[in-house]
Amino acid sequence: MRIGEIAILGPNNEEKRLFIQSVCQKIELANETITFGCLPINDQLVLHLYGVALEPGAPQVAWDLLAGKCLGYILLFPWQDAGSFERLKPVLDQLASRYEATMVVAAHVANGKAPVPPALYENGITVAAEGKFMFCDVRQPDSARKILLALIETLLDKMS
Amino acid sequence: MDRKKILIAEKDPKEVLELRKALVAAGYEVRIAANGPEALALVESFHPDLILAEMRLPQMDGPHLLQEIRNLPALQWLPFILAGSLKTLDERVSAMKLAVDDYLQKPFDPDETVARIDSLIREAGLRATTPDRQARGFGGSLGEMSLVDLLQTLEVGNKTAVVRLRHADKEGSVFIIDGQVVDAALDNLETRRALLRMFTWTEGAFHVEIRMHDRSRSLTASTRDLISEGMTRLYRWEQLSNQLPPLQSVVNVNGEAARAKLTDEEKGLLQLLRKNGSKRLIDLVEESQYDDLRALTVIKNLYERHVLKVLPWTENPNNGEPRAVLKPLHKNGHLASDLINDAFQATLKKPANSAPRPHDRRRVERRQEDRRKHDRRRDGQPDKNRIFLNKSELILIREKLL
Repeated sequence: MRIGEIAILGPNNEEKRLFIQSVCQKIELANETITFGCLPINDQLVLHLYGVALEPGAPQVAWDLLAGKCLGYILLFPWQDAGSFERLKPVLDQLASRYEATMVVAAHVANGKAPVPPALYENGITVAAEGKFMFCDVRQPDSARKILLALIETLLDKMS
Repeated sequence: MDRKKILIAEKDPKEVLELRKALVAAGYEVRIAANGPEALALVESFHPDLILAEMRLPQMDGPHLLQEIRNLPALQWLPFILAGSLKTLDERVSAMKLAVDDYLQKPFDPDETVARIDSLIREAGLRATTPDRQARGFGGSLGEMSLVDLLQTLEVGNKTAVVRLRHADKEGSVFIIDGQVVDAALDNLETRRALLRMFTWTEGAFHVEIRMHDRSRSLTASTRDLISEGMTRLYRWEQLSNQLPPLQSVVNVNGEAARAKLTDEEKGLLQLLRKNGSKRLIDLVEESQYDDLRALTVIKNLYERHVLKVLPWTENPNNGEPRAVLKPLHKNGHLASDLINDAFQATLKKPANSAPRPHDRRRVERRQEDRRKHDRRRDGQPDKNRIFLNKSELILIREKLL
């Protein structure tokens, strides 16, 4: 069995859980550090999604180990909470400056209502050679999958 | 038949006593508000068919009451008359340039005023029953659907239409034939500049009339190119305006700072402040001879160097209260671009295939040095994020997600 691993990092466990549930339909494991879900692609290939907590006081994640292990990263934060993005910034800095990590920064917007131009909401923007900034609604499977798809397409671009 | 309702906003009820009598005699139901906020409250409870407002109302003046009304999509076509005792022709013309239906000079002549109100109410009634207007159009808020979105929709539908936009105290129109933008009108601006300015309107109301019109093509660019330019400008406009106080803020020149070395563009822009001493930022942009984005960039530079100073609310020429109309600008204004800008800065990287800009060189070098130090700590092994699946496996995943 071949396994691709993707880490979903963010300050809010509930959003990561909803994101994984939207993509995988089911949560396999959830504790204070990790939320885990599987997306079978075929009988030989599966995607593992790890939601990793960045809450203050949560166990610290060993970035050095994670960075070389995962296919890519989804950095997820609620758009309405500017403070949550502040908590995510050091991780974003680290992934972008120290590792050539493929990532998508995803801003969760409930009900798809964002105070941004609709074109920006739909298409996002490129924030790094290996990264995009996008919007999504983690409760909507199509919207959550759009984020994952952007990550896979960035990986494919990188391989080309 | 229901009596039509007139709301008069006037600080001194005695001044409109005669007018009120004349209106009631003509069959109207009349209410009087003593200030702007009271008028706004009555708009909600009384549902007037026409508003007659004094220019200089307490707490929220007439033009700002108008702006509040026009920002409500349901009331964008409500007849609105401004009244005042403006002395010069210039002042009266300026008042007429606001998105008002009429301007009346005080003191009122009751007969003339009733005649004008009759005429406006009749026009509004006709508009409401015109089939084109009622059945073959749609309207809404520019916050929910910008001009870019509207043009995309009309292009896809290959429609012939007139798009009317209202933003603050301005009203503009865009004319479309078979989905292609052919003409645009806003104040006395040249066609292209008028359209580009309306692209930056993210608040206000729109109304699309699906109908034939007699405008011919005066824009050469394709609608697709215009939309693309509009999206870029909208994004850049928001980036710049988020680095400034609300564009309705009034500024003047900080004398000491203005003695610093200024570019010709900056001097040209400050010249606009020489006459009255202070202006709203948005007026500076609109009156400037430069392109709107260029003007806003120059203003940002002047503001950052403290050459432009924002006047406290008490010094604003219009009134002494922070105006309700500015609340929406404060509420969401800085959130979108600030966060995206933070994301840009935090990644310390450039978009794919773009060369580093000169001023970023030091940052890139610092990042490379960080990486080298980190590599040394890890016994020379680079910290590359490896892709543990092959291309065909990634393609399978993509197929699954599509």
